Amino acid sequence: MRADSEAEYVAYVTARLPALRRAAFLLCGGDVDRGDDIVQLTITRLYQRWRQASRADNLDAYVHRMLVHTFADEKRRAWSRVRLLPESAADAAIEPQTAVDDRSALVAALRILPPRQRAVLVLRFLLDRPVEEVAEILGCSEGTVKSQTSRGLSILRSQLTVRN
Amino acid sequence: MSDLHDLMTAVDLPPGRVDIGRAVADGRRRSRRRAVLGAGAAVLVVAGSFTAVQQVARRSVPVPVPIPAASPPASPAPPPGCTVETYAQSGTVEAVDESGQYLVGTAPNPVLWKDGKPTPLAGATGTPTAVNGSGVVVGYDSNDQDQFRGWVWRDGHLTRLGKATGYKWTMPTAINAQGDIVGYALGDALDVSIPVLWRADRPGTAVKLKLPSGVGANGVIMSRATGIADDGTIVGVVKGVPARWRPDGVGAALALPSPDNNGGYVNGVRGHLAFGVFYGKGVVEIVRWDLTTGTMASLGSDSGGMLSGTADGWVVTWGEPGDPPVRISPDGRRIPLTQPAGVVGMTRAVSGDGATIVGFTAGTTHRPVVWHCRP
Repeated sequence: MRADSEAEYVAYVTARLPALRRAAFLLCGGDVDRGDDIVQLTITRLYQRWRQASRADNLDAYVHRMLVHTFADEKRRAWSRVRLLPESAADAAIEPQTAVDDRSALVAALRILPPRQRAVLVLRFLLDRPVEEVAEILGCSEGTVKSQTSRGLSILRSQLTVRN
Repeated sequence: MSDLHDLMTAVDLPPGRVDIGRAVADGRRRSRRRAVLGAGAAVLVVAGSFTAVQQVARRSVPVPVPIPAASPPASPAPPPGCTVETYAQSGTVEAVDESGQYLVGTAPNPVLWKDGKPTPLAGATGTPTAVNGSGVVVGYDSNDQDQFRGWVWRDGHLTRLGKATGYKWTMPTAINAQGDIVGYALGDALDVSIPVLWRADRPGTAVKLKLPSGVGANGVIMSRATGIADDGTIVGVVKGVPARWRPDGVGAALALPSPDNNGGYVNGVRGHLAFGVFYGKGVVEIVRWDLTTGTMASLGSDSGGMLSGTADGWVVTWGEPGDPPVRISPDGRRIPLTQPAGVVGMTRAVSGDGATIVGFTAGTTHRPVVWHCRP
């Protein structure tokens, strides 16, 4: 990569890193190590595609899509036989409770949601992506995004009320 | 909840270790490697923490089965290698039967390939997980809430697998030559699962496998059956610890390389060999168990923890972008798997003789990939 492109990449990633880390942290249900691994992999792939990515209409949306796909691929890899909460067999055995940030009621409530619902809420509310983009990123219909949103919100609401 | 954005932004984010410099270095290295590869070239595998020699634990570990010293099995001559084909249409291959005759996958609905010819599984939706030598297929549907409904497809008919009492959802993982099916049942508390058997002639009845007492870690509630041999031996995990059940239903833990561990996982069984991983402290090791002798062999570390095995002791790792799949010989030699040009092919299953490996390309859309390896 040319030096000025590379500088551009580093500046972009440095500025966006906190938001990406936060999104991955919530997507992984409060597991900072897994979340950071997903971010590391995402920004590495972004480096490889920087020429194409930096020309995208909406670079933030492009990177959020990469993040969620990296999360889903990582899930799929460990999961298509080994699904669930705790997220993968490795996580279940290696760090049964300790990897999770239990201090936050919101994070604990998000953990209860199935991964796809969690992804919908993180994309829509943390990353502010519109419904049609969320649908495109997750490969589902806008109707599904809306119903997943309302279902996810009502579960969160009930969990946060109980905890308070 | 209009302030969910604020709530999410206010969450206390622990400090982290994302390293932009490393991303640049890794990104440069990967781009350079890709530029070097020609069409059909084998992927260069950076040697990781690879142990060339099979390790057999001689310590006693707090599990019932004693481990006699074992000599390494005679290693077959180095294989001539594998060819790879990628199908043109999008889809995945998820499993192959012991003989390598039947492949199953999605395109995007469940499909069975025999001699290269696809047949849609009429009436089935979702994802197949296993197929036997008679072309009987098991699989599952899931919805957006990861609620799984298992099914078996036989001679053009789909049958829902019976639920276990007290558990709403079912997931089949394996089927043997007789058509007996194993897997697990789950409730809405998605992290609790129990191992289950469905007999070939009674798929509507879920038989709960008895969990051996004293096995498994406190606080870990994942128990599953993940493989069934033709003699009826079942393998899986009990509360996060590798285990097996004899045909008479008696369960026991499988030996592990070290008593200092976080359990492990069993991915499946072929013949009398079971394959899986061991979670040590900070390391994931590939393990092969010989169910008739009770011996266990450690085949080196692996980052992904997902793999399949053959009846004569070869292992094939699933692989992922950045960590392509390898074959591991019975004595622990690692051989990179030939990759299709320009894409990463990940594996999902291997036939009993090792001659057919199946999987799909990585990425946002997938295409089926089949490897033919000269045995």
